[in-house]
Amino acid sequence: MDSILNPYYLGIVVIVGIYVILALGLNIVTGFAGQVSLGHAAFYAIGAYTSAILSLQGHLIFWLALPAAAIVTWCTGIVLGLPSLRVKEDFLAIVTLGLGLIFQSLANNLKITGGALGLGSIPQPELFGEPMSNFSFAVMTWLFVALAAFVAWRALNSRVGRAWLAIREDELVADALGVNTTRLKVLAFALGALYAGVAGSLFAHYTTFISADSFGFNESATILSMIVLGGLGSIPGAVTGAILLALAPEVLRPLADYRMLIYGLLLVILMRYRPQGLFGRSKAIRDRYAKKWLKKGGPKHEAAGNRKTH
Amino acid sequence: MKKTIGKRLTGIGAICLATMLVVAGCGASSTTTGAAAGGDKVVKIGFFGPLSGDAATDGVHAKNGAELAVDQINAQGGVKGVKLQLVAEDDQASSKDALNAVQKLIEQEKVSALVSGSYSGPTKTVNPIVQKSKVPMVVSYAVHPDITKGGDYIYRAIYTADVQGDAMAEYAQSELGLKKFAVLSQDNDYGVSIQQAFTAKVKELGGSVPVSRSFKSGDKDFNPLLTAIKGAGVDAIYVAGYYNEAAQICQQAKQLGVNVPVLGSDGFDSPKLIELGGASTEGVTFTTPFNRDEPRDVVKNFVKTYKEKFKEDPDMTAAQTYDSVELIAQAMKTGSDTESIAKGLSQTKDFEGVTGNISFNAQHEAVKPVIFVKVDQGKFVFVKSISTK
Amino acid sequence: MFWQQILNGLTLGSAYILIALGLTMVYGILNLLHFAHGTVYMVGAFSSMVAIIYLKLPFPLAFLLAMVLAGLVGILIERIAYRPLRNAHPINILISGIGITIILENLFRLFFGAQTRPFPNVNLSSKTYGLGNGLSITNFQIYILVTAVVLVGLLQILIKRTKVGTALVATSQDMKAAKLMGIDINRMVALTFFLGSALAAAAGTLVALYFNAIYPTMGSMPGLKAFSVVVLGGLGSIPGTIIGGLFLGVIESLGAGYVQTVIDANAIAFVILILVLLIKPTGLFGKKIEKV
Repeated sequence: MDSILNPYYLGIVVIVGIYVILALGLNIVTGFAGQVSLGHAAFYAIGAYTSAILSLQGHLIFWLALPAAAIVTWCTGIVLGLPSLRVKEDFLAIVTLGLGLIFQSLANNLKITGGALGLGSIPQPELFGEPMSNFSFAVMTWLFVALAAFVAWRALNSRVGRAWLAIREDELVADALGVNTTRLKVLAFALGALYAGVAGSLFAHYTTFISADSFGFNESATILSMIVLGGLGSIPGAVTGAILLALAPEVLRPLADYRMLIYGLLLVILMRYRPQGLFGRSKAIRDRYAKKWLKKGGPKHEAAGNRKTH
Repeated sequence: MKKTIGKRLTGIGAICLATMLVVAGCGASSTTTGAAAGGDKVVKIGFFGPLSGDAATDGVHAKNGAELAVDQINAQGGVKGVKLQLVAEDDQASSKDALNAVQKLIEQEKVSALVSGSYSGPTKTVNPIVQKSKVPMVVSYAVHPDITKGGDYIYRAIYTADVQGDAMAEYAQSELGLKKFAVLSQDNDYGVSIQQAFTAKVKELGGSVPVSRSFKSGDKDFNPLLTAIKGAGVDAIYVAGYYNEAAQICQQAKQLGVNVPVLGSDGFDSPKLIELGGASTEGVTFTTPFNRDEPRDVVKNFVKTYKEKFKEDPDMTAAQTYDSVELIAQAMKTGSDTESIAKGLSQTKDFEGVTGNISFNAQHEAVKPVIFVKVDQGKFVFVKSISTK
Repeated sequence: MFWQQILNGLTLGSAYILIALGLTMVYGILNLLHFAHGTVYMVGAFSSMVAIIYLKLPFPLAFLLAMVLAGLVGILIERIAYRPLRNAHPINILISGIGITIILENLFRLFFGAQTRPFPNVNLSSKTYGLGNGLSITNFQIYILVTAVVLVGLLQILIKRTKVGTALVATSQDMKAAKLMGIDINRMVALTFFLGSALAAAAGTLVALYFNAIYPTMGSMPGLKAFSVVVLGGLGSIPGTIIGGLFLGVIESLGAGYVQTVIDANAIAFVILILVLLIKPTGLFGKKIEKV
């Protein structure tokens, strides 16, 4: 009865996987490039709605709707990343928070998103002409997780990734050293948005019903908490943080009313005693890294190469 | 460096503590009520609804209604000797959590029937799973039109939005002689679908709706909307929404001097309406499936036992969920496996519930009377009851 | 009806001002976004309710007690969630604030339940005064407007005319220099949180009375909108906040009254905010801000 292949457990595995992808995406924006976003759920929503609308009205199959959703969110990521060029840190947090609320409100009022009625009967993906079971859906979701983690890892260890870290540590210095901060910040937003788009598409086709309620501020705050718990900028951290916090509501089910309270306490305690998260390096170590790197000639070399390749 | 390690240890300690809390919580599982004593054959009924979070009031009342029904059925020896056991899961009114909860109920708890004590979004989300697993489900009070579609296993114990929208439009025009309406609707499936039905019927009968606006759950300031309504000079305001916002609308309408009758939908049906709205709710008329003062024995018994057990008056969601469990129990008379229950539900005809005599039509929708209730001297008073097709 | 909408908007705006002033002052002194400020507004409303029901205090006393209690809660929040993180990354401070918000909302939910409660009966019934031309104002609206004017006036006197006020201004202008001058920085920070939280509690109580509704999440939307007010007014500027609050209240009222928009009234605040920030990143009345 308690077999691991129980659809109930597999369903949780799918949801957890979706959160891991979301967390990996936000980790690129906030963890790597240091751009605080309190509106990540907006991209999640755009991905979910795009995929749902394309398959409901465009009769696109899931395997085409998902990449289409990814492209659309990539583009919106570029557009919505533009405010990050004008405002910083705290202001950016408020702006992204506002964007999240505006998108949720649009989803709740526009005709194309089904308004308050939401979008239902979203087709489940098919594999070899058969609707996918929870098992195959879970396997697919985690293949996406693996891909997302791999891409994030490659990006982090590339010139782009090192330039992101430079922006995070000190944007003025990075700029002065010749990093193209404008392009790189927008790139981080676009990539993070793309991840959220994939997650949104998976979510829409897994639950088959979406409405604006699923993409509120709480969702954005949860995703941010996941990467902070894991340690900003750390890929294993983002994965672990997402798994822990996505499982928490299921595991804490019996605690019902206390679960959110525990969640809040956890955040405050964590920020006070281990602000770098589970996997984060402490600031002292990070500083040493940065110094070493700057001594080696900083991002000049990389940034120059960067311009050539783009 | 030493200090860093100390700090780090404290941090890890804090995390371990939290993890232990989590693990400790794992021991207990979902709340179950009802007899599981040895010997008797027991059938599990799964319940899901918002038991915690902002919507907890409705979910807890729904669960209370279901619990009361299970207790009473078991006290009478169960259904043909088969006892019921209620397994309740929390969905926090979230689609994602409802999906997990229902899969848990079906796959792990192996329930024979389900009761939705939740809102439309969550209930709609679990539809494909429920239909595919062939587990019969009775929906207590969610009104989204698509909920019953896509198979033969989902039944709805509340009438759809158009039934009460139509009923109020007819009543207001032909009996109260009102012609020009302002409509305020909550911006969810509930409000929107009732508003559409009401508006269509009003126009069909020759009336008009010059102002139609929506509001959000949790809105408090209705002054801008009511000020616009004041300018339009209407005969009445129809509100398709719930008691919290309805109480605000009544209150602020009075303060702004908009002195026209306020009419409403079954979301008004809670003692909270009068508690929050005070004297301004005087004269408000609304449609509901449940009349507390009905002299029938089932109603009297329900109101009395509910009050004894939970120390408060039952509201509409409690009554609806009570009936939902009773409907499942009556469908079990021919057999307690999922197929027999589904078949039994499809054959339901004139079942006497606390919310009237209920039949299911071919679309799996409840057919039962619409009741008009009016607030009179701080109390809900029965006005009339009309039967629907 | 236009003037009625303006009047409604001014009432709404006065409440926003009372909430937003705390955020402005905190930002002015610590440069931090006090995310848990909205919950203090909720704490204020609940404190008034408890004082009236259980301590049987008359409304004006309950109102003052709620301001003091909420002020102490504000100080406590700063001690627990912000002071240990004073040199931390802004994201950490933000998350700490979010954590406090979740804790407080859920504590109150556990104690008082999630459902909306009516404001206790304080022998204040609503009265409507006609102003001619279909324009009307209720006594509750008058209370909010008058209280806002009085409290803002008192705050100005405190800041401009007293020694403590001068110390406060000095600290927000240059913390290091103030410290060298012998000002106890931590006391100034505590005072800021106390004053800001007390103002939020005043707003919470009056709005709860006006709408006859108290519930644990009542502070979340006003709290978020207060951010928008603060940024609109140019962070850290008190006169800016006042104009920003009135501006937002009136725009929201007119927006909800005249257009069936594709977005809710709640989102209007943020559309304006984003437009303003993109055009003039320092807010409508902001001085130059280093960070931007």
